[in-house]
Amino acid sequence: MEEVYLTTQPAAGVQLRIEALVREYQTKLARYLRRMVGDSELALDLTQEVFLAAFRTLQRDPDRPLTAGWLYKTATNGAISHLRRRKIIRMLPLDRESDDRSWRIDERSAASVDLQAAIAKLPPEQAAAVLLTSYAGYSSNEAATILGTSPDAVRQRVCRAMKILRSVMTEQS
Amino acid sequence: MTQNCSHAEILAGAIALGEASEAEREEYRQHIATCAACLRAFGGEREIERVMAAVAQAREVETWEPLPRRPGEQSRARTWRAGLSVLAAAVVISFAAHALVAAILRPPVDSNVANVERSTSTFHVTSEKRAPAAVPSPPSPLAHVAKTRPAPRSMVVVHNVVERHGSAVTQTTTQTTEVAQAPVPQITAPASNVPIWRRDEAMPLQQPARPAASPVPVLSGRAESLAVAPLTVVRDVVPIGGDAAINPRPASIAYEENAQGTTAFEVLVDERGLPTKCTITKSSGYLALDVSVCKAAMAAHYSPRTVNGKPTPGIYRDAFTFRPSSDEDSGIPQ
Repeated sequence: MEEVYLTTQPAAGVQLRIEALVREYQTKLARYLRRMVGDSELALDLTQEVFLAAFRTLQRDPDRPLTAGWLYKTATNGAISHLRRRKIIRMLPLDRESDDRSWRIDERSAASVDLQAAIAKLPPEQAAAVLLTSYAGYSSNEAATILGTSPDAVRQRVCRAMKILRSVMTEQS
Repeated sequence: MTQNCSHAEILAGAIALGEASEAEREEYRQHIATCAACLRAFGGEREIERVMAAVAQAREVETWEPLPRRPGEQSRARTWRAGLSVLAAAVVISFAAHALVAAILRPPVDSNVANVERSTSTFHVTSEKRAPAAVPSPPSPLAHVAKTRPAPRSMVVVHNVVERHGSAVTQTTTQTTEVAQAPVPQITAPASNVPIWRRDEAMPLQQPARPAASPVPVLSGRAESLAVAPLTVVRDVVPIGGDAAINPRPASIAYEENAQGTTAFEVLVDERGLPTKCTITKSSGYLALDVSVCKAAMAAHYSPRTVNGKPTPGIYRDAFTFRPSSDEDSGIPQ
């Protein structure tokens, strides 16, 4: 499947657009996904899948405008479906907060790691709502479009996530 | 009441996102004034903003730069898994192929040789391979002995020369007795020419074995097998995934104490590549750092030390230096 991406397609325009998207959003998406799934290798895999999906979409319909929202939506769907699949084996030590060898020593300031442990406890939809808004910087309206729901639902999810984060944070301190 | 509370959740969410109007804030204040459950669950406006500030702060201190990954490249874990399944498939296929070859070959060989050559010309190699195995038995019994012995002997030499010393002497000597019957004179020449020996202690071991006995008769046959010994290749213990595979994660106390220093360590790795023991050879002075290093070292996987492709126990040595990062000042405002 990956070969499709590798082979040079005649549609050079598509190639250029994808490259521009990758340059612009790769870091942002990877960071967002890493917060979602708690694992950087996996985040990179998922990021790549997003761009692969973007490429396929553009191949099918070269004129389609691909916005950042579209990328985040694809990324969120990928992350959520991954987390749901993994929920089945949650009891194993391969939890979201484990195996985070990429949280380098220098950036593991106490706050960010504790936050990661707290985020790992959130249901995927709530994690997405919080991260899309306060982490990726979208308003609740924009996040609602990305998540395919209403702004009020996003606010509600943020509130419930905040409630969990708060209880985890008070536990820790 | 529940209607109100779910509306309060939306209001609290809006406050959390900094999107609430003054009217909405006022509405929320009035709600928590009468609803203890919501006050307990979400807290007041300040509390909500404090919690959300932690999320925003995580974004501010984020320094992770994803390495640009080439298109089509997968994570190591995944490739590894894929590799395993490919390997498994290859094994299965080769089994199947062998079974097939065997199935095709066997009946014709028994019944009619000429038939084999005609029908399955591609399998000539296989049938030829079988032939020599049958040949050695007919000649004189002496020649037979000479043929069969060198094979295990050449192995023993390798084993003896490079691998063991000290603890395994008894084992080596028992094995050496076998070897010492003939090969001894030959080994001196190649050994001095070839500088590949890793452990010099192993050489003296060879010498006491030498004078034991040296019957001359079969020399020519053994010289070949001995010539293999100097090619001994020693490969040392390596962590699978490179040096980065060992990733110490000190306990939070290390950050609080602003711990820094260098921890040197060594890990005993057995022939299966599993770490058996970790020793701190130089302490950083902080228990938390040292413990994290050994913990990480014991959690890593290694490819064992090998001698001529044969895995043996070995030692892996490395060191980590910890120092507080400059970001940390801005990291912890509390």
